Amino acid sequence: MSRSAQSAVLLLALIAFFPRGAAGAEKWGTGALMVIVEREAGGVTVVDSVRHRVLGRVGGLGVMHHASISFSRDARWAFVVTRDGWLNKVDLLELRIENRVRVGASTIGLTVTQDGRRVAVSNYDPPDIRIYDIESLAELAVIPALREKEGTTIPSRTVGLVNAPENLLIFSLMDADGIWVVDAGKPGFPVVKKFWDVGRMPFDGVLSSNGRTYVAGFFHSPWMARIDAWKLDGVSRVSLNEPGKSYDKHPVLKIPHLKGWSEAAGMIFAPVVGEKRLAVFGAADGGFVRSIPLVGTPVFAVARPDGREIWVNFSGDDADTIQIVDVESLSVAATLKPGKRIFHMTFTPKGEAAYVSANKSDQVVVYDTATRKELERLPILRPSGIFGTDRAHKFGL
Amino acid sequence: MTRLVLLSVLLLPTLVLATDSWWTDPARIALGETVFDAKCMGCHHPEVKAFGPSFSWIASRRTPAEIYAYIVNPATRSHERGYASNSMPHIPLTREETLAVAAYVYSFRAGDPGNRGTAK
Repeated sequence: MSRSAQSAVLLLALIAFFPRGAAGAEKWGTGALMVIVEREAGGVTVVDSVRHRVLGRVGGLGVMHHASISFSRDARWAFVVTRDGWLNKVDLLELRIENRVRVGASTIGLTVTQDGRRVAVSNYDPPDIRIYDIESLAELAVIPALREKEGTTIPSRTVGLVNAPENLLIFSLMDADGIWVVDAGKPGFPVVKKFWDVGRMPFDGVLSSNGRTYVAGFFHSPWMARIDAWKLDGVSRVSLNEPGKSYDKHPVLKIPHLKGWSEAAGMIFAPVVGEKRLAVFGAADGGFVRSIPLVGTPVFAVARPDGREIWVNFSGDDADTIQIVDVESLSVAATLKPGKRIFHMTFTPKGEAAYVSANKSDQVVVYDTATRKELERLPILRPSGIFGTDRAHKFGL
Repeated sequence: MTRLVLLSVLLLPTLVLATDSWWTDPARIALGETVFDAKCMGCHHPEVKAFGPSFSWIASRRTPAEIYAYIVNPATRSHERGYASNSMPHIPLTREETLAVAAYVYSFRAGDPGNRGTAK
């Protein structure tokens, strides 16, 4: 049987076995769900991360390559944005699509504002940020990401969109080397700050857990840019390199991702583009701490909620590997091989378990983080991003 | 004899590229999909703009030979086209893998009976 036929059989089995909706039947809370992207199947699987069991799936969402998910403040609704530009409002109690609108031709991210009233999306195509009413998904604003430079208008893909305190939205402009700040609490959603020439080609951004510091990473610059969200008075640079040291460069087969809480013990653990290491620097002062050598080029560096470990996955030949960094010693403490092509890792809200998507094994592997032993292997078709509903209560996500 | 063998090896891609329709070989396209999945899917999507352009966009603007040449040396090709910067790495592939990926990319062109790049 061909591979595509096998995938189709597995998908049909999953659809038949797991209910699409739950109206009138079993009830559950939404505080500790994992919503898992089915990268090739156009849907999500919803998992109870207390009992580690699949509750059901929702299909028909769109092209789920690099799909991203944010949640309403009450974690009732999941907002799923797809690569081909669909914003889906998904009911996590009924496991169905409540509403959906087309927000772009190529969409990369989204976030819900601090006040919970709006959902904003960041687009590659068209080059803009769009803001929607969270109840109705009515479009409220389109903010073109354009730069006027030397008589030329430069349209830019937008990345690293985060929600910040005081109802701000912060994002980076990939093709225009900028970072903008939007006040989503004011009529008209004005852009209140524009920072230019922050670094060459920002690829993502992350907000510190206290909502104060926005950090952007760059594809072509050996530093990260930091903005104090309280002051918005400029951009500081954090070098990713130790003075006098050079590093081997490797082909970048997958862009690193900064979101996912790579902050622990007051430090940011940054995956470095094209290099086999994490760069560690102080979250408050930006002071370089050290490099942590890794087996491959990292994609995600995800902090355990208690801050004691950072779990790292990789692209390329090392895509089957996870390395666990011990935060106290700032060194690799363990290596896991959960399955084929590890795409993402997410911890339960208090970190007693870790969910790992083994994309080419069609499984999400659940680990006990204290013992690093497997608790479950959940059958999920081509899983990629894993989004916990506890993100509803965190700045930036 | 050794010189003849060496010359043949060096000229092989040129000879293949000069052959009509090398990009339509189904087996080559299938291999290209496999290589794409292993090496390219992190930055490209066949039909939607991602970190890199979509294959349908590329295939509508470049010949198969141009696509092949770009994969072989993206930094130089990018510079020749006047792009502000290059973000595509040189990925070590065999000649046949490079031909296969180029054929797979080109299979997403619009308006071709063999095209599979229909919008979803």
